[in-house]
Amino acid sequence: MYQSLLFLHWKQIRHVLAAMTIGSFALPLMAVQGLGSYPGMEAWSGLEAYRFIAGFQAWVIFFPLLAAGVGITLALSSWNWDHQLKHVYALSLPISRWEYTLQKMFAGATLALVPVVGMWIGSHVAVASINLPEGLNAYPNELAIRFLFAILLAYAAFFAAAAGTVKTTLYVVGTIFAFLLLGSIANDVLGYYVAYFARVHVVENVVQWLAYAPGPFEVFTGSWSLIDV
Amino acid sequence: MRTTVLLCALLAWGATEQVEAQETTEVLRARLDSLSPLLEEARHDLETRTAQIEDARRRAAAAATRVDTVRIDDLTVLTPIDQGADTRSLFTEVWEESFAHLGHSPALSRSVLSFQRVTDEPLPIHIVGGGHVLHRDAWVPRERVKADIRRLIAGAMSHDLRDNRSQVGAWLRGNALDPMSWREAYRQVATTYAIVTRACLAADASACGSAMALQTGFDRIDGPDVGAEILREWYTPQERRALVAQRGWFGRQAMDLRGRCVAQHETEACDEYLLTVGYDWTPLATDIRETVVAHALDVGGEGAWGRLVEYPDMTPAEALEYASAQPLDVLLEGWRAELLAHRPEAFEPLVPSSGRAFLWTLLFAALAMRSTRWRLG
Repeated sequence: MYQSLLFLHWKQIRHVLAAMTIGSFALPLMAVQGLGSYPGMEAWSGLEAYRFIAGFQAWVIFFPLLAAGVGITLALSSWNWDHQLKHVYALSLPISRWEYTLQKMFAGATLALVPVVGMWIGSHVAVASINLPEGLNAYPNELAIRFLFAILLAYAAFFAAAAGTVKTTLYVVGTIFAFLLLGSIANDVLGYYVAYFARVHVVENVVQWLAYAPGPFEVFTGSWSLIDV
Repeated sequence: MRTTVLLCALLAWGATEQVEAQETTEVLRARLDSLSPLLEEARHDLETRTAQIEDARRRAAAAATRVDTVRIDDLTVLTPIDQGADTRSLFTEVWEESFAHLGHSPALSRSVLSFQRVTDEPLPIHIVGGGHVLHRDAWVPRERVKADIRRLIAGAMSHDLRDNRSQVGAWLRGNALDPMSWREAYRQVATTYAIVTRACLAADASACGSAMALQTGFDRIDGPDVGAEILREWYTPQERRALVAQRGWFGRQAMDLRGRCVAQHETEACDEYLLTVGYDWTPLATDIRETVVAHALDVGGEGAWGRLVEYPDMTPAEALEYASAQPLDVLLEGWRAELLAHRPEAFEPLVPSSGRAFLWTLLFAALAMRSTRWRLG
């Protein structure tokens, strides 16, 4: 069952996944481009250490974005054919709903390893291509692990959202957007009448909690540095 | 004969006409030229008049502006009248969190700040030496607004150190009340290519002071008093050679020294070059000094800012000791401990961070399995 689901998912997403894997491989290489020592200055690359970190920082934002993109694509594509065929195939199977969902989820999670391996190899190649100044370290393995967990988290969140009906998904997404948009306005208006809301912005606090520990998406806001002290 | 006379007369008449025509052109050109100054004058008058009208419009708008003045200790803030309460709340919060304990600031009490949040054109509030916070057309998180206010107050307060021409101000050359983050400071110290900064991170707090030129003599204009001895304390021979190799100054003597230093590895030539070019070679400069002063103010607590600016003739080390009420070595040890405590974890250990991510993943998976789609009853 797991193998069938894996094959089916692979068949549907292989082209997109290939592009994402290439992107994952290329991103670390692009990030370290131009960070090498100048010819004849290799022995004195220590002076360039801070430039390495600053240079890489400009690219850091793309790593979590790529992870989110991979996770969301995998999640939405995993339910695609079920929604198209009105779940007839799944209902005809002699297994329970939760077991089917779990196996489908495992299949998608397995596919997530492909871009992670791309990122891992790309990071190692990127690090090998430059001379790291004294005081700096490279973290290719840690970056790949963070990339994996970030993909899995985005995948699981959107897999859960897409598991229900389209109507349910719209309700969930709509509620989130309504909370973010209307909540901010409501908070500002309430701030004029209730002192508490003038001091505490509820939406801001919720977003902060979601984005930082122990919120669910802290893995996206942590350190994504391939090169650091 | 008559024909000849007629022809001559015709020619003479033609020549006269031509001369007259030439004269007319020249007269016209002269008249046109004489108009140029008039045109310039008219254009200038028009510009002046337009500027006067615009100025009058601004004055009228300013006169019609209803501005509230918020006063909190040394702070004077102008704000649109309908934002008075909100502005007071924000500034009070920031003031009490970050500045109230530091003591009186003459520069701040002389400054007038402005704060407004608008959806269209900002009100023409005139400010005096203080700067303003203006948020337009967008909701800005409260923490960011507070950070902007904090930066505004810090900027105004830091003028104390320049106004009194103190040694510590000349040494600092920055804004100690709005320093860089500890994490970034650690990165900067760790990536500074100098043996003294490595010693600072390793264990030696006095090396930290040396790397910031805290213990050397200091001149308000010339900066730290750097000699060959202190250069040797800061940098290894290879590091000094790297500094020379990376930075090139022109001039026959400098080029000669540079050549001997880089090509022939003459350390004395490197030192002479570095001392000749008149550049501040202090390994840890403004950004890091700001964090030390900020730490001294934190440690000093009540009235620390007042003490820091009280005696302009104190050396930076003396001023820091006085402001923090701690001996310099204790202060530097505390700063170093703080720096090490904020060492950026390039990657958090697997269990706390990624473990939490995995638990959230499992939770979402459980939610996915609870879908209502297939439920019949």
